Amino acid sequence: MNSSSFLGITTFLYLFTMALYFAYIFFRNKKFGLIIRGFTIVGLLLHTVGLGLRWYESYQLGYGHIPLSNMYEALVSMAWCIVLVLILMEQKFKTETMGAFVFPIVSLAMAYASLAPTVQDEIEPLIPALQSNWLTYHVLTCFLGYAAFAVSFGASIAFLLKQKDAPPTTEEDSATLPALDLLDEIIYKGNAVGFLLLAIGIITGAVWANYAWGSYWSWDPKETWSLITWLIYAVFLHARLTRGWRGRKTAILSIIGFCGVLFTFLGVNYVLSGLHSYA
Amino acid sequence: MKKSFTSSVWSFFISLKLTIFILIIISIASIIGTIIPQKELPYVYLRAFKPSTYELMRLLSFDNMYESWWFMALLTLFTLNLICCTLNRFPGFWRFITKKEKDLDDQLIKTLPLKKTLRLKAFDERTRNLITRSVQKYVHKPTALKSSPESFTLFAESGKYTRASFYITHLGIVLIIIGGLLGNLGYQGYMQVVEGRTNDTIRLRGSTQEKKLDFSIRCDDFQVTFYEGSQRPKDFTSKLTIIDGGKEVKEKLIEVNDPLQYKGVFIYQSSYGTAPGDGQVLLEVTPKTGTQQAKRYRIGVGERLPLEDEGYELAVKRFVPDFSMGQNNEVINRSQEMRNPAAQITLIKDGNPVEEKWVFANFPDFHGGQKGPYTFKFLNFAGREYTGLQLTRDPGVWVVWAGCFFLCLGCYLICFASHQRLWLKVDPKKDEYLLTLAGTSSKNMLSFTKTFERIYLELKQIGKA
Repeated sequence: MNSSSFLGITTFLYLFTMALYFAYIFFRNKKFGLIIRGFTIVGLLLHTVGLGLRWYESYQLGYGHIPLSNMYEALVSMAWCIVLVLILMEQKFKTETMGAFVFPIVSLAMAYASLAPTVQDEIEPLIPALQSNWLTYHVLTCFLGYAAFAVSFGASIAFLLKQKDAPPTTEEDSATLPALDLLDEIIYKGNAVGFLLLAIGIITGAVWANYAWGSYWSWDPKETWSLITWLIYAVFLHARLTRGWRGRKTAILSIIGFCGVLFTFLGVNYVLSGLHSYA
Repeated sequence: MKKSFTSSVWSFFISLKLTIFILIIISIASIIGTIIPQKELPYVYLRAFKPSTYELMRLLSFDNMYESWWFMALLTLFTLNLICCTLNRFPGFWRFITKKEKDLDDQLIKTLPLKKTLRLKAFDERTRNLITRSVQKYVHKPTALKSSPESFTLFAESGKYTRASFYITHLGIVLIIIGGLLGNLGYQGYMQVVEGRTNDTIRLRGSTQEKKLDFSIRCDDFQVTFYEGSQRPKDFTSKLTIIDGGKEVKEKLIEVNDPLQYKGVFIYQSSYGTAPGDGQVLLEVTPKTGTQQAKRYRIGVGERLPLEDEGYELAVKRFVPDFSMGQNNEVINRSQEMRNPAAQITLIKDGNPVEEKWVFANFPDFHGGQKGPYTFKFLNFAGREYTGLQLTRDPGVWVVWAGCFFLCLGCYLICFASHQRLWLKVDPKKDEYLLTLAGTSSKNMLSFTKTFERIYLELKQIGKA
């Protein structure tokens, strides 16, 4: 069994978990919650083994590096970060259904990484510019930031859907999707943590760029778009903390922010060109 | 009443609408800058735009947005706006930080979101201490606002200074922008140094201007290692020596991600290549007739070497790393990379050239109508490589790092730190005592509510005992 097999199994497990989440919401059976949590954790463990194996395999090939250097590794590591942050958030806020709106993103990322013809999954050696510990600090912080935004995005979708439904008429209704207040809190917390992590991610990128190329900021498309995304979330924080915005308006702002995240993470690589085009 | 000029100017600069407006313009400009290529040669733009459109773009600096005067002006305006907004809020902040907390009266209770009451049958010294210790477990340093044998008000708060997080964050942003603007006082340039040679002139980035440094750089050795069996570079390093005022002052082996620093200038390993004029060609010469073995000769470009046979000499006239033929069948060099290495050699007998031809490393069997007594094979080229260095001088970089630190600190405080306040009042009422617990938190109400509930439960236990 090599890393590809583990990651393949993980992909299927995530797709199955996503189906379980939707079943949970439809059939409203509370016992499901524990089963889903179990599957999620097993999935994350297999995912970790898969990534760890790939890391190990790269050393066996003679050019060892952490799996963060090309599009395949970026997608798989990003999915890993999202599942990790999701489990932590669900644990902290004692809710089990948010994953329904986050797992589609995770499954899509994993499936795309394995199936898309343009995504190479061979382990490749690092070019000299990437041979640095900064690769880990910078990329990992950015990915964790995006993961927090992804969980907030899931909560925002859940919020908007729940608001649209008629007000809960039975105990069961309000038990399966987290209460609106709780979702609002999750959206805020997720975006606040993501904001801080992205700030650190952008700054570590700047420090690294200064070490490697003598310029901490060169208005490269990836850098510029990450700044734009950061600004959107800054607007979110200002709206919530200074203007007291809550609920629907902040949920929509959160979704706009995540569109920024998607463009920064994927759009820039495929649509624009620049220093970051190798990831 | 008409506003004075200064107060109009001030209201302009503290306007939140101005902030939003500037941020939107800066964002749109930045986004356009990622779609339209920046700092490219004219032909790149003329491929996509009409010449008149391109002229307009040049006028608006759309081809070099981030260094244009209007972009800098927007950043400066934003900084002023931020500074003014921050200063504007300061008096309110100072008043809040330095005010004395009031006793818990009905007016204050109305403003607090969390409040609960409890009836106590007795209130003595022991109860007072138990209550104080209970509160202390959850919120720091309770202080008695009013204390008498009959009544008692306790006030506790934590994280008062986290209200400064707003200032810390914005100070960070202001420092980053100032540092960035200061950076324009420095320079960025590129320099090639051939192995063994010295250079002191850089070509400034984004232009053809040259700048002479007040010191020189000598490349003692350049090495590039490739990943096994491929042309992909694994690592490339340069051993550099700095010569200032005729003396060798500093030496370092630099590689990508590990620059050399001297007199505020940073020298980075950026790229490399082969200088085509220098170097030696390794040729294999085989006599066409007879049983003699092939022999190898290493000849420098522009040099000639006698061959084993009497009277013959071989000269290497020219070398190009990437051979191609131009429109008029002239030889051109397509690039500096060794994609199609070729050498022009001349066979000389008794001082007279008898044959001249090109030999190709990638096409060893290409003879090109040769007539002479030998076959030649081009084996390899040992060239003088040059190292590509990037030099930067940025006087604002440390201001930027300071700004980043404050920005992160401020963001952390905004996300995770809150200002919590708790009041506890005990009042005598007929033959028992009324305990009122009230409080609020600037952020994170959920977790503060939990803390509040826990304190209340503990007080209830104390009351029962």
